[in-house]
Formats: sequence, structure tokens, C-alpha cells
Amino acid sequence: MDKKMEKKGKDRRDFLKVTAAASAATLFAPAIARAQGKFPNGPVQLVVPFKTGGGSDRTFRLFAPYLQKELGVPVNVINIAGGGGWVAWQQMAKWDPAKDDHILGTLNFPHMFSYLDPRMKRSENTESFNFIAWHSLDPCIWAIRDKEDRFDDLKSFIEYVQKNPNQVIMSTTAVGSDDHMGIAFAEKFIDNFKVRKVYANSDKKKINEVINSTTDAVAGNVGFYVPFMLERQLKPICVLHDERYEALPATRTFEEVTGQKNISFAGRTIVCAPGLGGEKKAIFAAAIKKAMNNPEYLAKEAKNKNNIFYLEGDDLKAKIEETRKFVESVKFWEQKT
Amino acid sequence: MLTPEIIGYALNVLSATNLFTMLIGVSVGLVIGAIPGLSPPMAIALLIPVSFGLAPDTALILLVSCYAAGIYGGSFSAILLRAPGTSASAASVIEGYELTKRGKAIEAIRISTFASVMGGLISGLALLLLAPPLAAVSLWFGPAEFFLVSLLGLTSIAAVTFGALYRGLIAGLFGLLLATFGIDTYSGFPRYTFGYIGFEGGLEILPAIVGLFAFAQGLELCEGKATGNISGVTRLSWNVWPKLSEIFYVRWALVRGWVTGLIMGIVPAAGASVAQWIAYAWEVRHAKPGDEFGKGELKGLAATEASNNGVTGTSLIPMFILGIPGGISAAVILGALMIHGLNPGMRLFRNNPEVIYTIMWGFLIANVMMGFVAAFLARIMAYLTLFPRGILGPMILIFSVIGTYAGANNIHNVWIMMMFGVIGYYAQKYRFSPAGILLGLILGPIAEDGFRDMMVVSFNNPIPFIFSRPIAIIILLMIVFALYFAFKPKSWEKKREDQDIDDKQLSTTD
Repeated sequence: MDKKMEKKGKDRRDFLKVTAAASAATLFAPAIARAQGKFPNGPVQLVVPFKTGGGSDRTFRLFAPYLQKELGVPVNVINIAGGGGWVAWQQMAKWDPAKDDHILGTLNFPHMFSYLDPRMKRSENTESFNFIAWHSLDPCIWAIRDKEDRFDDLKSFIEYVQKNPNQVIMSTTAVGSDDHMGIAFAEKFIDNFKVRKVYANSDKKKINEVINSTTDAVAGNVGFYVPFMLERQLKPICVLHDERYEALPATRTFEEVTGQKNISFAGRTIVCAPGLGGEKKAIFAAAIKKAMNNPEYLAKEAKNKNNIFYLEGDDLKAKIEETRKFVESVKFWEQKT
Repeated sequence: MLTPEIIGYALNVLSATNLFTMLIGVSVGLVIGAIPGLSPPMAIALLIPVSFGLAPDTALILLVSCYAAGIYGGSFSAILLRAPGTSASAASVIEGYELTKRGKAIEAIRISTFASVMGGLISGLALLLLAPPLAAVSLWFGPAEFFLVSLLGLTSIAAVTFGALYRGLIAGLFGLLLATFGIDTYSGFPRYTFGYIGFEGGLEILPAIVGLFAFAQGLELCEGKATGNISGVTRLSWNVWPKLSEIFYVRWALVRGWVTGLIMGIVPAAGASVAQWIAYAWEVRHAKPGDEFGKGELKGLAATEASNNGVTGTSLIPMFILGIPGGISAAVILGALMIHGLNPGMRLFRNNPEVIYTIMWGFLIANVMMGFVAAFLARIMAYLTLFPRGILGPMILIFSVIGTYAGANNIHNVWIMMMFGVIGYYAQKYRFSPAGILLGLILGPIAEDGFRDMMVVSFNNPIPFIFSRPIAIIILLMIVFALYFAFKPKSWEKKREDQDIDDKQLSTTD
């Protein structure tokens, strides 16, 4: 046998050895880890309550590899879609801490407070979930066409609406969404502020409507809308946030202009099985925090136009409580739509 | 305009990395598209993490290739098994499966491949050359136009009833009723949910299609003898390349299909799942003596297949130029574009022409590659039609369940799919067109949203509003024509009927 052939044979044997070792490692790693009492000792599932390709799915698929790095085990994103998130959330509320300790879920605010609407007859509430961290927060904004000449800021917009009640049309996401709640709040607490609303289930529809003059203004979330402002198609008139938003420093908050604290956003939190506590929850919490501070991840989210917003412990509870109070103050289900 | 600079970007696509990535995108798209329950947007979303490590243009070539092939992949299972893999291929079931039943599976596949590849290429050229003006057209569509487009789509029901017009209309109305299930966007009220969480998000199109066609087909194959196959032949043609005579025979069907696809791609919210039905109805209206619509007419298949891929390129236009995706797949691609740091809009063309044009050329070349991969796969997949019914039936049932569950990880979707399966089985048996039910379900939400939005923006005065909008008037005229031709028998049809009556009278007098 010449040397070349011999080397080829050796290479192949090496390759087979490495492959066999790798396969064995994959097969037995969880068992070995379990035997050593390590946690987590197998793949962790991260449940996203919406379909593949949506905003939540995108951000958590970006996040998964970084969480995987911190936990040392594979993190797989699982989409359980349906019922506007509730198919997955009902399951999360029933997870058993003994069996379901390798599964994390994501929960959206103020979206999940739709349970406060008595028509929905939900039995779950915030107490049903075991929150670990607040992950991201995309504030609501109101925007108008860049070339609009009837109003150019929130003050002139409100004055115009007050002079022409029920004549101005706003595009918003469905009743009960964060965008709708911001408008419902204004209608409840600003005198004579009454607009007609066209509802949508996607930003693409809303943006199309305002750009092609079907409607006069749009309520949406900053992340998706910034590119349209850079393209000079849309102009922001206010942000429904407690302070001015970093990416739009010249845009005033609703509170600055009206004195009313109208704060609405699309927020995402991460939960684990109810009752899962002690060391296991602490391990998840530490890994999530570390992954969320990974500069590479933050750079990717900046491109994705998602605003990372970390909260834990009492701050997290307080934010959830503040959001609940806001939704309760609006009581959108009692308003005429 | 096709400047030398733009042509030059085509060379960027021809690197080994780009071509290999394209092959992966095309293969994944074809396979996932062919499995009932798994959709092109899902295939694209699953490839996004894979694309992170790639250069932006290579990454986007991967995704657009997967999109083009995904839309086409669904046709395989639609034609061969009456189990459409995607909502874009549901209409191909009608003539495609009838051809399979007559032992002409390969003939059906080859004309479908030709129609799709050419449709993708023409649509890709429109994307490359006419993107900015066509994007402006997409902005002319408002609530009135959406409402009327959905009505135009509903007129297609007349074309899929095959003589049972009233039963077809009942099926369509039933579909429209089912489309109202779920939480109402205008009031937040849960409509017809019966306290069942599976109904809260509304009845999704994909489980409905899998149920109405694939699962129902599985049930049908499970009755009767287990031996014998669906194609009725033991050998298939091996020629996967279409003959010139075939292309010549369907030439006008192809043209009409491509035109429908190109236009419907630009209409936001409509897309391939509406285009194919409008194209099919157009074809039925153009029927000539001797055409066998409903019994395996090649022209009907050519039209549906030309239209659904004719959509693919133009549906990307509003996304690239305006940042407003035309459909779900385009929305997923938009997400990927942003993650790769490319903000859609005219700035993209000014600042990164090399990236955007490379992607567009990539889309064009991917369509050609799709033709070759599809020809290769066609031979393997067509073997399924030679399987005994006793094996094929249960196989389709199992794949329907697995595909539907894998699509959403949601057991409720599986129950809903099975519910539609039983409905589809009986609907087919008693000639209440399953396609009519599907059309109602697809078009119901577009019609309802369009109507309610139109009432808001027209201050409850829709008629003058419609007549103040040129595009709305054009669509309205198209509806009037469609209805006129749907109900008025053609002169040759009338002659044939008279002849039949004469024959009957003759036979009774004999």
C-alpha cells in the first residue's frame, strides 16, 4: 500500500473515531450531566406563543444562541401559536415544576391583560405565572404622514381633533392591543378627543393606510416605524413612554404635551414553571441576565430595532403592576369602538 | 432600466457560495412546501438563524430561493395526491389530481414546472426592472379595493362548482360563516368560540386546506379496496421536460395566469392564495368546445401554476421599496433583511445597490435552479401515485396530522384540521365544492375587514366613496363581467344543450 492510501485510511479512521465520539457525547451527555446533578442537564425549550416569523419569534430566535452559551445546553425555540397567545399561556400556567423544569416561556404585556376583559372569561391572571425577567419593551408612538399640513405635532393634532370630533381617522391594531389602549386612554382622559379608528392585525396594513391617505394618523411601536421616519414617509408626533425615546430624541412624550401619563408599549417577559424556585430559577435568571448583556446580542437587536429592557425581582413586579393599573384605568372593553 | 451596472450584479450571484446556498434554499423550500401543513413562511423563518453567519446578499438569496421553491413545492402534493402542501397550490388540486387519476401525473408535473419556473422568471424580471413604479401602484389599494378584490375572488366560486351552482354557493357561504370565527378586531369580542380556545384566533387557512383536501383524500382512499392505485396505470412517462405542443396548447392559459399573478402580487393582502382562483375562474370562462374542466384540463392547471409563481417576484416589491410586505412570506423576509442591517426603502437601492440587485438576480436564477431540482424530484415523487391505495390513504392521514401539528405545535389545529377533513369528505361526496368552502374562508376576512374599514373611512357612505376611486371602479367592472360570463351560457354550450335536448326528445319519440 502506498503512503497516500495509508494516510487516507488513517484519516478516515480518525474521522470515524471523532464522529463516533461526538455521537456518543451527544447521546450520553444529558445522562452524564444528570448523574453529576448539573442543572440544566438537557436541552431547554423556549416557548414563543406566536407563529414563526413574527416579532416575538424573531427576537427570541436571536436570543436563543446567547442563552444557550450561558446555560451550556441547547436552547430550542418552540412556537405554540393560537388564541392570540393564550393557547401557550394556558399551558405555561399549568407547567409542573417537577417535570417541566427545562422549559421557559415568553409572555407579552399589556397583551396578556386582555384577561381583565370580562367577556373573555379567563381563569388565569398574573399570579398564575412565574416571572423571571422582563426582556424587551417597544414603546408606542403616534405618527402622521411626513407631508401632512393640517397638524405637525401632538398639540396641533389634539386641537384639530377637538375642533373636528370623530372626523380624524387613526389606524391601530385590534381592540385590546397596546396601540388601541393608547388611543382609548386619550379618548377617556383628554376632553373632546374623539377619533374614528380603522383596526388591523399587522403593521404593514396600518402603514399602508396612513401613507396612502386612507387614514390620518397611525398608532404603532417605535421599532417597526423608525425606518419609515428615516425614509421621510412618516413623522412621529409623540411617544407613549415615561421619557423621550433614545432613537427619537426630538419627539415629545404624551405626558410632556398633555400632562396625562399615557404609557403604552409592547413588552416581553420570560417565565418558568409556576412553583419552580430555588437554585433552578436562579440559574435561569443568571443566564438570562448575562445573555441579555452580551454586546454581540445587543448589536443584533439594535439592527432588529428591538429595545432591550431588563428588569428583575421587585422592579419587574412593579412594572407588571403599573401596566395592570394602566389597563384597568382605560377599561377598553367598556368603550364604544 | 437594465443598465450595464445592474447586469453586472448578476455575476455576483454566480459565486460557488451563492449557488450552493441557493441549492439549499430551493431544496428546503420544495420539500417543506410539499408537506401538507408546513408552509413557505415557516421554512423561511427556520432558515433565518442559518443565515446569520452568511453575508447579507448570500443570506437573502437563501431566503428568496426558499420562498420561490416553497410556493412551487406545494403543487407536487396537490397534483399527485390531492393534498396541497400550501395555500398557494390549493387550486391546482382540481385539474392536477384529475390528470394524475388519468395516469398523466408526469405530464401534469412538467407543465406545472414550466408554468411555475417561467412565472417566477417573469415576476422576477418585473421585480428587477419595474420595482419603484409598481410599488407606487400598490399604494393605490385601500379598503374599498380590498373589499372589491375579495368579491372578485368570490365570483370564482361559480367556476369551481362544475354544474352544481347552488351547492357551490352554499359551500361558499358556509366558508364565509366559518371565517367569522375568532376574536373580532373591531370589538375584541370572541365570536363563535363556544368557549373553546382553539377557535379564539379564528380558523386558520392551513389546517383548513390540509383538512378539506389532504385528510379528506386520505379518508376517501381508505374506503373501498386496498389494492389498485390512484393513477390507474402501472408505469409513468419518464419525460419530465414539457413538449412544445403542450406548451402551445396551454399558451394563452399561461399568459393569463402570469398576468393575474403579476397583478395580484402587488395587491397587498391578496397574494398567491387568491391569484390562483381568479386565474382558474378566468380560464373556465374561456372554455372552448372539447375542454374538460373539472376532469383534468391541462389549461386549468397551467393557469393556476402560472399565477401562483407569477406572484412571487412582484409580492417582494412593496417590501423592498416601501418596507410594507405584501404577504406573510415577504414579512418574514423583511424581518431577516432588518436583522442583516438592511433597512428597506429607496435608500437601500441608493446605498447598497450591489446587495439588493444581487438578491434580485439571485431570485431569478433560483427559479431556473428550481426547475432542474423539481424535474429531478418529480420522478421520485410521482412514484407515490403508483402506491397501493391501502398504503397511500393511511400515509396521507398520518402526514396530515404530523404536518399540522408541526406547523403550530398546537393540538387544537389538529382537531380543526380533522373537522375540516370530515367536512371536506362529505362535501366532495355530495358535490358541495370543498374549494368553495376554502374560498369563503380565505376571502371572508379580507371582505369583512375591507367592508368595515371602508365604512369608517367613508363615514358610512360607501357608494360615492367607491365611485370616487378609479381602481375600485375597474375592479367593480371586472366583477360585473365575471358574473355576466359565469351565468350566461356560451353560444356553443347552448348549442350543445339544445343538441342534448333534441337527442333526448328523439330518443323518447323513438
